[in-house]
Amino acid sequence: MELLNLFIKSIFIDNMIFALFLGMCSYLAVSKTVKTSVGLGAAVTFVLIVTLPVNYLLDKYVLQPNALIEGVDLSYLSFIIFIAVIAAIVQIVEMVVEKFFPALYGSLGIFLPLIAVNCAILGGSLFMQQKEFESFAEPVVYALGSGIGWLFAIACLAAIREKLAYSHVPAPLKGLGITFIVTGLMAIAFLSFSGIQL
Amino acid sequence: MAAEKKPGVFTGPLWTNNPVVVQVLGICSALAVTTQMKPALVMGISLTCVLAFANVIISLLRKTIPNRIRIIVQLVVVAALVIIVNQILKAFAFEVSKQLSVYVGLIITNCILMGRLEAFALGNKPWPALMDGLGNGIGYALILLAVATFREFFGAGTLFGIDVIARFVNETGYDGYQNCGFFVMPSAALILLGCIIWYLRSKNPELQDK
Amino acid sequence: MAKKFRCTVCGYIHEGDKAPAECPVCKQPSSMFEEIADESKPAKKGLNTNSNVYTIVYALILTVLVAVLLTVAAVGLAPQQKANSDNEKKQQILSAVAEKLGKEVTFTNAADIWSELDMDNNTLVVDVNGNTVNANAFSIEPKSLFKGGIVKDDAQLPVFKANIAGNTYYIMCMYGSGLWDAIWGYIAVEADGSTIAGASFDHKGETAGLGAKIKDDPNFAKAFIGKTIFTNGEFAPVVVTKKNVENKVDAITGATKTSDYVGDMIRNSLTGYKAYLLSIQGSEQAQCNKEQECCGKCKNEGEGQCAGKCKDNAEGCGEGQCKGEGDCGGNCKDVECNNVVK
Repeated sequence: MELLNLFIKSIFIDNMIFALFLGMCSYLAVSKTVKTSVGLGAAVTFVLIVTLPVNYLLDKYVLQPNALIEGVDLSYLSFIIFIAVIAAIVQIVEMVVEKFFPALYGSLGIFLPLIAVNCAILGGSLFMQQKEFESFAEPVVYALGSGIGWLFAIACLAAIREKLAYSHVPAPLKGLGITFIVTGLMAIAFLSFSGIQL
Repeated sequence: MAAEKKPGVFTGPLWTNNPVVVQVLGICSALAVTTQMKPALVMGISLTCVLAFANVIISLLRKTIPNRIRIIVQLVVVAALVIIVNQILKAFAFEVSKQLSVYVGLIITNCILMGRLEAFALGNKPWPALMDGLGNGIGYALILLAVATFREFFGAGTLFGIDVIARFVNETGYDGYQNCGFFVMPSAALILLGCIIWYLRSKNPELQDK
Repeated sequence: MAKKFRCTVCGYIHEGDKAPAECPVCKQPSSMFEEIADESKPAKKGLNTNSNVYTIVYALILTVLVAVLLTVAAVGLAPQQKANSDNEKKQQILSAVAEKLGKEVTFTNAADIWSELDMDNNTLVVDVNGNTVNANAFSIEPKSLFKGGIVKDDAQLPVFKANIAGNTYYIMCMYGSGLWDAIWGYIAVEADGSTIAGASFDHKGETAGLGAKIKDDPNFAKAFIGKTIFTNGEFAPVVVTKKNVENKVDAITGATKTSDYVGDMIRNSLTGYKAYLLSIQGSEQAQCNKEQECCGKCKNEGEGQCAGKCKDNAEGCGEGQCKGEGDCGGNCKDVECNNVVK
């Protein structure tokens, strides 16, 4: 039940884009069509699911105070370890996908290098660290939920932007400006999910 | 030639080529830390320091960095600087560092950093790289402060934590100011930034999307 | 050796001493050509920056450098950071009795007030049955005491005693989940074990300007003063609501959810302290400071409430009622008690 709660919460309430502003850069840049945005969203979800548990284990068994050696606190290294893990995993995933799943690579591949420096991924790890999960299942569920939430947000925005192409937006507001405002309005809609407890 | 270039490198990003509203980089943290001015200012300063130092370091190393691990080297340099900034904040600006929470760490993946390192520091000498870093960092800080001013003023009636509206209201004898909760919500940040872009682009028509 | 020139427009490469006057492919003038460094002679710098060995050595050196730098920074700043987080905790604990102190407890003056009240020597740790445990109260993380918002059965709960103007206030920790993330705080109880003397709250991520008011609006915490934890002997802690009921604190407008969670937190956390609070009340009912009763009871270990308190060296005689009371000297003949008083 707690896992389901966490899952719903990370999709709707703590939505990475609408509540935490993570991964905004690619969110804005790659949301022109639904197809590419779903591809990027899927790639983000995938990388989150792979990196978060790894970082969780690293955090729990290496970085936390007294985890590795009694009396040694390595938590100050967490940023650099996390980003290194993410960059390395993204590289490996890219190679593996390219070798064994060429079809998948065709659709996700172009986004993978982008993702190493996507703040949603590092942010996911950092928020995961802050939430101090206790069991291994929690970071997995959290990663899945956050990824789906992100995918959901970018797909919605892309759908709206496709329609927006036909409306009369004031010239200075076109493109970026209106995208921000639309995202803001979507964030208000997502606020209505707040306080949901299962 | 060089004398002409330097001020452009520094002042360009402040307004006409602002990293946040024109190049659309580093939005994540720009929105998340702007509920109040103090964290926004600290975030701006932190990013400026990290960006300036990273630019200089990468610029000094630019001829030695193996091309294949270029990105990783950049990430490592940035991550190390961010960790140092984070440690310093924790030690000397404890309250603010709590408010910023993970967003200090997210400076690492701030697109402004990777963007400037790739586009500028790798191909320029340390001095222009420093100027470029400072310019972009300050440009980023300016936008942060602009958004934070609105959000803190309307959302809490304060600026830098100093009660402006209530004080004014008390002196004039009207009823108190009812804080507008909307401005502290995440959505307000997005809409405000949208409006800033709107304003900027109406002043600078060449930036408008076709 | 011939130099190489590349046309920047079409990419045509010309070999010769200088760029051709006109590109044979796209007819651009020679100014559009750029010289390309001859890749066959990387010996210019003595090192090939793309070789495997170079890359690996480079990575190693960088790693070692960065590791050393970061370790120096982290170790050098660690004492300052530790002092900061201790100071913050002191501030939070003392804020619960800020009204009784008659001044605001800030980040800067917290450490001074802390040592003024000699708080370091006025702590104890109790278990959920109200018995004293030997542990360091200050180093206990409130978070570790709770599981699923409920006090663990084997929790060791810290109690901080503030002696202000002759009165003792018992400060206890609270922890729970708010609307978005964790909320926690400290609540001070008067010597009667029921009346609330003050409270302080903090949160990780409640909505700024709304839920965050539990911390930011001093009137919210002040409203708890004078409310009670027990009503007619029943455990019924103060509630946070807009409803018109007895023994309540008004919920924050626009943050009903967070307010609810604060109420839940108080109730759940104090449940863990219930036995201890009852024992404070018990000792007061037994009027331990009166010579006859107290002595009689203290000597008699099998006796009810008072015996339970006073035979316990850390609690009753050491710091509580018996200490400093001339009339209690009698009851402290008890060997255990004597040791503590000395």
